[in-house]
Amino acid sequence: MTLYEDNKELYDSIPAEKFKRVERDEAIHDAKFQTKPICFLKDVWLRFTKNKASVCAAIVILIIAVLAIFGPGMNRFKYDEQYPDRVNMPPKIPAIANLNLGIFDGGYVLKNRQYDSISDTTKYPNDCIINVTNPQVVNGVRMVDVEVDYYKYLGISDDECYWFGSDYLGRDIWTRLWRGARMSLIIAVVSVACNVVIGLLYGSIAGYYGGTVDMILMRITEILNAFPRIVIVTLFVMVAGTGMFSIIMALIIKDWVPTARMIRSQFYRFKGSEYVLAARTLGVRDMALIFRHILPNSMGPIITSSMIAVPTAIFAESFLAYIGLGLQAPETSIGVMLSQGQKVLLHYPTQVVFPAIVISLLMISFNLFGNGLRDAFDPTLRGAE
Amino acid sequence: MRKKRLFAAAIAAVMSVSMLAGCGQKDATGENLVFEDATSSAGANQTGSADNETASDPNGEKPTDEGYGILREANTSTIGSLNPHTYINSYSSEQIKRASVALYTYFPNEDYTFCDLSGELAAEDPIQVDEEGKVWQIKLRDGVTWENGDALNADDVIYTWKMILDPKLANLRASNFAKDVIEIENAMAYFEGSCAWEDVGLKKIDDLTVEIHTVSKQSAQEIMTHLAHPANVMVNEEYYEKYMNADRTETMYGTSADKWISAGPFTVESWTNDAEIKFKKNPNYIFKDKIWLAGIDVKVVEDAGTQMQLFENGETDYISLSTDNYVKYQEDPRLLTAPYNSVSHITINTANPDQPILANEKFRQALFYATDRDSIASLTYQEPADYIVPTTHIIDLENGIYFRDTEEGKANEYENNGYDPEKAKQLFEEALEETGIEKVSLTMIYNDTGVQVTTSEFLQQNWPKVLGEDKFELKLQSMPSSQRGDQMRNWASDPTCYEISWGGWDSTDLMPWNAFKYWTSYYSAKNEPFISEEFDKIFDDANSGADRFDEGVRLKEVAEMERLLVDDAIIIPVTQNTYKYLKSDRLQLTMKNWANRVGYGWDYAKIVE
Repeated sequence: MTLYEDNKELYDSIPAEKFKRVERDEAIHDAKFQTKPICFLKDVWLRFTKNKASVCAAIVILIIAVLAIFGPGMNRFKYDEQYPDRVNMPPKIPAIANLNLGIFDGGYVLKNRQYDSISDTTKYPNDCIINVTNPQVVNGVRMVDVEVDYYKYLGISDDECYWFGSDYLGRDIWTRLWRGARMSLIIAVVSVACNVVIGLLYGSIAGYYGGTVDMILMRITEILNAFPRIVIVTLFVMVAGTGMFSIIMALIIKDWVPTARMIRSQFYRFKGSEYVLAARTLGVRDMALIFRHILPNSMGPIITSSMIAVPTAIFAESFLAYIGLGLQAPETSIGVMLSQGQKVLLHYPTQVVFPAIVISLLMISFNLFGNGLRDAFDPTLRGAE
Repeated sequence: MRKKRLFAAAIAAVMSVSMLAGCGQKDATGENLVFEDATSSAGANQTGSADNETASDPNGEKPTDEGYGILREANTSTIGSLNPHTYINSYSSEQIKRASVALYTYFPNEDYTFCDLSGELAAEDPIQVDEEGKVWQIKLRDGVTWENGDALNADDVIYTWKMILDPKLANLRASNFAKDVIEIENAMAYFEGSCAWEDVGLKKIDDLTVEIHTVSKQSAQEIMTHLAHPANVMVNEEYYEKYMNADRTETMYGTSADKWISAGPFTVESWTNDAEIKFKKNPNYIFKDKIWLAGIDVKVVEDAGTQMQLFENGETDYISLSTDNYVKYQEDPRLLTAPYNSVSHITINTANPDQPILANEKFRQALFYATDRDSIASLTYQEPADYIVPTTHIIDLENGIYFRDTEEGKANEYENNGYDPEKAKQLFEEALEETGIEKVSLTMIYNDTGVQVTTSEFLQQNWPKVLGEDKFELKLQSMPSSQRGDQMRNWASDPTCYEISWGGWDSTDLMPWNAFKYWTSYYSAKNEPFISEEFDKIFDDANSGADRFDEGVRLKEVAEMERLLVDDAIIIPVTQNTYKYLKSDRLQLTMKNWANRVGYGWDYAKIVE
C-alpha cells in the first residue's frame, strides 16, 4: 500500500494545473574551490616563509655556508701558513679603520711599558703610538700602557691586513675561521646524515615488523641510550685517535637512536591505515611498502629532527676540541679555535670572539630554522593561520 | 610612531659607536700624564718607594723566633702527601723540605749569591773513616728536637733509612736512596728482601754518630749531595708507626696535618688537601736565624688566569709567569728571569720498525740542522739550545764554573744555533739514498697544552720547507702529557708506540754527569731506545770511576756524553726554558740573584710592609 493508493481520491481531486514540473537543465557540479589547490610541499613552504625568524635563520646559515666555502680564498693567506714574526696581530680592516670607530684598526694596548722608552723610535717606530694611559710608578720606574697601531709598531706595510687578526703562529684568523667553520659543518652534516640513514633503516624495520623484532631492536637502543653520551664520545675518540673520521664516528655511535625511535613511532602510526592495507592486499612487497608508502609520510619529522641535530653535532665537536680531542693540527675547526682562543682570552680577546660569534650564530640559526621547519611540516597546523 | 622608532634607533647607533670609539682625548706623547706610585696606593701599611724601605724595615736586624709577615703563594700543583718516601711531583718535595730536616741541605751562601751545601742535622761534613773512601761517619748536632720537643738523634736517622728501604713498604724512593750519587752497601739487596738489615751499610755508632758504607770510593761532597735529596729527610718514628697499617705495607704518615710532625724551618699549621697549606715558622729550628718569615700560605689555584688575578689584586706575593703573561710584563721592573734547569728536546724512537729511516744517523742529523731554534725561541720566549747540558749546570762546584762556559762545553755548540738548512737538505738527500726511501711521513706526539703546541706546529711547517715538501711530511698527534709519557716509555714492549716526541728532564744542576743517567742502558724509565756501551762506560767513569776527581776528567766525560747524544742526533735539543717570575713589593728577596738549588730563595725572603 502506498500513500497514493491510501489517499487516491484526495490526490486525484487536485487539479493537474496546480502541479509544476521541476527539472534542471544544467548538469550538477561540485562547488569550485575559491583558492588555488596547493601540494603539501608548497603548503610547507608557505607556512615556513611566514615565520620571519626561521627565514632569517636560513639566510644566516646560507651566508655562513657561503663564507665557509669561499671565505678561506678571499685573501692571500693560507690556513696553515705561519709568520713567526707576526704573531697575535690585532684585527684590521682598512675600510672600517678609516671610519675611526676604534675597531678593526690594528690598535693594541701594550701593557706595563716603561714610560722613559716611549720616545725611543727604535722601539716604537713610525709614529705608531696612538695613546698613552694608566700612568703609575712601580719600584721607582714610571710605567704606562701604550696603545699602538700594531701594524706600524711591527713595521708592516699598510696594504697587508689580517682582517680578524692572527694567532700564536702568525696564521690568519679570517682564513682559519672559515676553514674551521667548513670543517665543523662537514663534521656536523656528515654525522647527522649518517645518523638519519642508520636511524631510518633501524626504525623502519622495528616499526614495520613490530612484535619480537621490534622488542629486541628497541631493547638494544635502550641499552645504548643508557650510556652517557659525553663519556662514550670521549672514550671513543681517545681509543680511535683524533681525526675527522673518528670524530664523525664518535658522533654516530649513539646519536642515531632518537631518529630510529621517531621513525618507529611514525611507522606505528601509518602501518595500520587503510591505504597501507589496500596496498598490502594488492600484493605490494614489504620493502616497497616501507619505503614507497609509509616512509614519505614521515619525511617532515625526519627533516626537522635532523636540522635540530646539526647544532648539537657542532657543539659536540667543539666540546671535543675544547678538551683536547679535536682535529689534529694544522687542521682547524670552530672548536679548536675556541679552545686555543680561550687560553689567551685575557690578552688577545679577538681570538676567541670571532669563533664564538660564528658558533653562536650557527647554533641559534639551526635551532630557529629547525623550529620553523617543524611548524611548517606539522599537518595539524595546516591552515591554522 | 615609526619616526620615533627610527630616531631611537639612530640615537642607539650613535651611542654604541661612541662607546666603541672610546671617549676622551688621545694622548700619543704621554706628556700630560700624572704618575702615581702604584705600590703606595695598594695598601695602607706599605712603605712606598724603595728608598725608605730599609729605614722602616719591620723585621728588625735579626729574625725573631716568631718571624715577621706571611709569604703568600699560589700553585697549580697539589700536594698528595708529605711523606718523603712516597711523594710524586717535585712540587710536593719542595713543601716537604719546608717542614723537614735533612742531614745535609742547600742553603744560600753567606753573601746570598750562590748555594751552599752544608750540614742541617749533621754537625759537620762527613768524616772519612777508612783509607779507601768507602766508610764515612756523620756527626749529628746535639739538641735538635722535633716540633713536640722530642730529641732528634741517630736513632731517628737510622729509623728513617730503614723505612726508606723497607721491603714491605716498597717505597717509590727506595732505589734512589740505595743507589744514585752513591751506592750504599747492600741497600738494594735489603730492599729486594735478600739480606738482613744488619748487613746494610748504614750503622749507628753512638747517639750522635751514624756511619755509611758505600760500594765504591766516594767524596764527602758526593755523600752530602746524596743525602740532601728531599726524599731522604728525617721521618718521626712515633708518627710513622702510629699510622702504619696492620701488615706494615703502608703508612698514612704525612697525609694530613695531624699525621705529620716537623723539625724543619716551618711547621704545618693547617692543611686542607688540594686547597691550601699553611706553614708557620718553627721557633725550635736549628737555623731559625736564617728565616725571616712568620709563615707561608700556599693556595692551590689550578687556573693560570686566576693566579694572575690573585697576584694583581695583591693576594699573592709572587707568580710564575706564563708566556702570554710574560709578554704583558716584560718591561716591568718587578720581573725576575733566570735560565731554567732543563733543555727541551725532541726524542726519537730509532727502533721503530715502521719508520726505518729513524735509525739512519744522517736523517736524524738532517732534522737537527733543519730546526730553526731562533724562531722557536722567539715564538715561545725561551732560549735557543743546540746543547743538552743547560747553562745552569755547574761542572766545578768549588770554583763555581758552569759547564757551558768551559772550552769543552763551547766546542759542543754549533754555528747559528745548529740551524743550517742547506746542510739539512743535503743530509736528508743522502739519508734517502742510503735507505732507498722516497718519501718520509713522520708522526710527532706532543702535549695538548703549553709551548709544545707552538713548537710542534711550527716544526710541522718548518721542517718540510727545509727538507722539501714533496719528500717530507710531519703529522701531529696531541694528547695529555701523562698519556704521552706512558705511550713513549712503552717502546720496549711495543716498538711502534711512537715515532718522534718531546722530552725535557729537570736534572741535577750541580752534577751534570749524573743527569746523563736517563740515557744509560740500565735506566728504568728510558724515553728512547738508545743503548750504547760506549756511553754507559763514560757514564760509569764519570760517576764512579777512580780518576773522576782528577782535574778536567769529568769535564771531558760530560762533554763526550753530550757529543754522543747530540752529534749522532739521538735527541735533538731545541730550547732551554727560562724562569719568569713577577714579585710583589712587599716581598724582599735576600738572594741577590737566582742561584742553583735555592733559586730565588723564597723561604729566606723578608716581608717588608
